[in-house]
Amino acid sequence: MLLALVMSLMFLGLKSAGIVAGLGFLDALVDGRYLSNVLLNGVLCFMLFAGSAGVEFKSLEKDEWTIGTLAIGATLIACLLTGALLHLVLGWLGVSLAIGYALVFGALISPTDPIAALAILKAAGLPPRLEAIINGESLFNDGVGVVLFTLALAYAQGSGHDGSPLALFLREVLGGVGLGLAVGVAIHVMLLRTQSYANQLLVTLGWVALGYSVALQIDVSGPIAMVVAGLVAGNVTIPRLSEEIRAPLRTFWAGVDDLLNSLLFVMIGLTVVVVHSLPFAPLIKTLPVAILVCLAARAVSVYVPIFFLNVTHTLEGDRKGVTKLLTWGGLRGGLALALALSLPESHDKPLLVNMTFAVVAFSLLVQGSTIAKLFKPDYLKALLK
Amino acid sequence: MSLLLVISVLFVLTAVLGVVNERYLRCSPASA
Repeated sequence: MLLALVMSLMFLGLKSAGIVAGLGFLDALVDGRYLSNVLLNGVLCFMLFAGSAGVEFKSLEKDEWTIGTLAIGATLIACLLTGALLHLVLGWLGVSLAIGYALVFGALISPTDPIAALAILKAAGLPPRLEAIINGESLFNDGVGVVLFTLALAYAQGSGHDGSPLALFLREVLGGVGLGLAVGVAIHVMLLRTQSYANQLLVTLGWVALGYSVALQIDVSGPIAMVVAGLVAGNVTIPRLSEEIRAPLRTFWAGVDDLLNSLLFVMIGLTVVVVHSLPFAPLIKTLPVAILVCLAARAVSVYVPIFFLNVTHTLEGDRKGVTKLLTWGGLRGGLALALALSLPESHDKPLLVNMTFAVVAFSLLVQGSTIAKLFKPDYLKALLK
Repeated sequence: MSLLLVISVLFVLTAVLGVVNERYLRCSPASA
């Protein structure tokens, strides 16, 4: 993932060095609306399915309340707070960003992806319980983030649609859940009737692609459908398969997840440079603001649920310390990039794509590389009672 | 109809044929 990020930064470097002429052919490639539609939707549907198929409810064990409160509460608070703060602060700076699109940014940037941080923290002696909490939160907040993203986008585009917001909500969310369940059942029925690895790959890949393209056709939320289908497949179908069939299938989808994440970093680098390139002067103000707002919103959004859990004695320990750890360790990853790139073309899309790239790159490069220095093993061990 | 839809329908049809072949026809390329 880091290598892909470096490649993505390299595109920016090439551009600032003035070597853009060589990238001219990429312009045609990326701007053909081909990449942004077919390829991107393909990446998003397989990535969401792969990610949620890896979520096992069984693995939550005793911390289900902590993880549930953090995944739902923290993501919701972070989404609203990021959106509101960004709308206000950018307004002061003279950059106009509609509140609807500010909330869309809040929703897509809120889910965390701490795989890189977890590896570093584990080496630094992170207690297993905290590791399970951080891991569980990041697995579940993807789904919450996708739902919020769908709603915020519906709200942002609201004026163009007829019908009440409630009808839109019911259609997008419930339609997505229904379609996801249907895809999950189809995968379930067919996977249990085959022993061949090739057929299993065809069944899962085919139904995921079909489910997503049907969602695009009938205007329900494709991302929600894929998350639901992935949860059904990962928790109902795959555990019923025999071990020798299950292991390669899980490995395949975990590989797809990694591969698409890396691909996304390269894609967003290209898109930021060739499609959504903005003048440098306003960006130098807006990008640091976006990074700071995301950090502040993450800190508040983690502190509130932790405070609540602490008062109810569900999670006892050093409130401020845990908040600090979850804030600085809350790296952002491929999901934010994929959602930002999947936005329909609008006046605000270039700014959102640029801000997403800045926040993700900052979190991976700065937060990721300093986390081991900031949190020493003794400190980590003393965080929970 | 979008290209993605057509491709994915073909994909699922292949998968259905694969499963039907495996369960009921059993004519694998290896044994043929």
